[in-house]
Amino acid sequence: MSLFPPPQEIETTVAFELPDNLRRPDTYSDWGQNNQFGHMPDSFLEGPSFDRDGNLWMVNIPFGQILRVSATGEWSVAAEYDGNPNGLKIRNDGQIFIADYKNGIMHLDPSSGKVTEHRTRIRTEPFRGCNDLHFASNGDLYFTDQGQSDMQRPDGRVFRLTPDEQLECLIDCGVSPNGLVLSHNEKMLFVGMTRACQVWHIPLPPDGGPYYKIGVFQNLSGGPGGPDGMCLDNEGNLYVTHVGLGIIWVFDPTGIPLYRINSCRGAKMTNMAFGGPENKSLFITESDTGTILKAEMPHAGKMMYSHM
Amino acid sequence: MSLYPPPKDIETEVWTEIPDKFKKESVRTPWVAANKFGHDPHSFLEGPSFDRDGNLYVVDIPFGRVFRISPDKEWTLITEYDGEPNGLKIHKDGRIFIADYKKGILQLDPDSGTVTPYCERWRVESFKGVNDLVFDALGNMYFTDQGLTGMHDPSGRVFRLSPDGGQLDCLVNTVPSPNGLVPNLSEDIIYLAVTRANQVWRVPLLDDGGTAKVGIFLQLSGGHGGPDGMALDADGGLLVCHAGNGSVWHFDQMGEPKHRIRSCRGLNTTNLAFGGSDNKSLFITESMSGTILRAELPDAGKVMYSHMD
Repeated sequence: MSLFPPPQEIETTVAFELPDNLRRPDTYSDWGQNNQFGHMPDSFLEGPSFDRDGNLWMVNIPFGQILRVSATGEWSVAAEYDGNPNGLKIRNDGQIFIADYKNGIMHLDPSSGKVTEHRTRIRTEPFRGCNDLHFASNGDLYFTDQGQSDMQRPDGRVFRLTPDEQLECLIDCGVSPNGLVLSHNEKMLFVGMTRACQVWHIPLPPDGGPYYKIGVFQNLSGGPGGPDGMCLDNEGNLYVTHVGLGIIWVFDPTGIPLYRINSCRGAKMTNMAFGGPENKSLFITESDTGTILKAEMPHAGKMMYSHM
Repeated sequence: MSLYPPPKDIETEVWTEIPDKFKKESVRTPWVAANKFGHDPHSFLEGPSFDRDGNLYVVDIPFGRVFRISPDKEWTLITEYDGEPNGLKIHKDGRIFIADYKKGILQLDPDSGTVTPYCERWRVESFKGVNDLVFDALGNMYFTDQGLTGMHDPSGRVFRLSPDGGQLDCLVNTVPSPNGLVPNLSEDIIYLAVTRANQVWRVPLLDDGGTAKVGIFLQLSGGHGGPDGMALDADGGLLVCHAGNGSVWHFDQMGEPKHRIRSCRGLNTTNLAFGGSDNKSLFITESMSGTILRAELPDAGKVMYSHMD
């Protein structure tokens, strides 16, 4: 619970909509079956990320698709494979990395459309179900291994994979670790813990692990989901999608609520990316309706690794 | 966001500040390296406690120092020793006790500056790192053993040491970073700041000496720290320092927010003590700047054990 005054509200508009020819109504998927309890979604958009040409990339979880929409709204399928791509981020050389719930961390070569394994196991053990990923400015890749961890089985994990392929587990006690983003100075990692309805912070000691003083940054309330995708703006403010509630909360660096961004469509705003000419437009996946929403923010987004 | 209306703001002013001659230059002690990544503070003030003459004692964690600040704001270095004094409270017989993160519970002779061990270990096992302490009206000492516990390792502890120092009991050992603590008015509950969970817990004290039904009293949000030092007002309301966002929250006895006391300096509002002529002034350590802030409250503080007959 926050004791601070209610934040200022900001409204959204529809930027793009998944065209009908890319929707698969009434189509079974094991991901849909297990996550939406009998409901068969015609799509589930996540992982929005801009490339340097202004194309917005995203994933379509149940159908193993990587989608791309141009600045003028033309959609294309960049890849389709046997997997559940859940998160997507672009490296500074343009190569694309996917947190795939079924397969682990995958690599998509955007020129060939080929998807290959990047890191799918810890030694020989598969991940439980990777959800999202985030690049540090030095190329370290942080990702969450969410699986079905929850309040009764708090064993979700956060990993770091360095450019020279060293894999390190930061924590293994997460309550459904989901979106993640580094603080402005990269000394702290924020992780959305969906089932705890909390955002945790993990201090990153300069000499690496073991990790300690891991704490709760935000105690949220409400919604059938919880914190999902997260991002940062140039001021270090933290953006937290609250899936199931149709709200994105924005907190200042000390945790004081600044803004509440309301969905003009469904309640499943799952993730977001800054874009637009001044990088002040927030593009948000609303996964229930296969829509990309847009909100105009007072601050520009923090530059992603893809653009460094 | 809050289920209650936002509490009323109360402003602070700088009461006094650590004199330049006591500021240390860029010394990276082990405590600093583990707790303040990449930042070398000149001091880190904590543990504010008044004696009966109106002197305010504070500790300086990384440099093992204890200062006494007179009512006219003169700073005196009482001791400098090999330790990390984190909390300080005064016994009603005038003895001064320190919760030392490195060394356990220590006793300080304010006249000679001599620091001696009082309760260094549990049986023969070292503490994780004790943080703060408080006396009840009977002279029992409650203290937190925090170490580097957190959400990943919820193994912090609360101990009670009998008035004669002879018996040490562990009340709870499942806490993600136990920090400040204070008994409620009737002294049948310990309020416990649980920093990494961003919560305040209630630890009921049973007649048989144990506890049961340990629960969450307050859920906070924000700040890169969490609940830190705490104090009680004379009506049983609870004051909670929120380290990392420059606030002290004042809740009534039921936990409804009444006031937000806002730092006019840094964000590290770590601990507090009531003082002033009618005991309605709040003195707060802002540890990043080495400042003692002062705020005027409508409510008086509960009389501390140091001032009881």
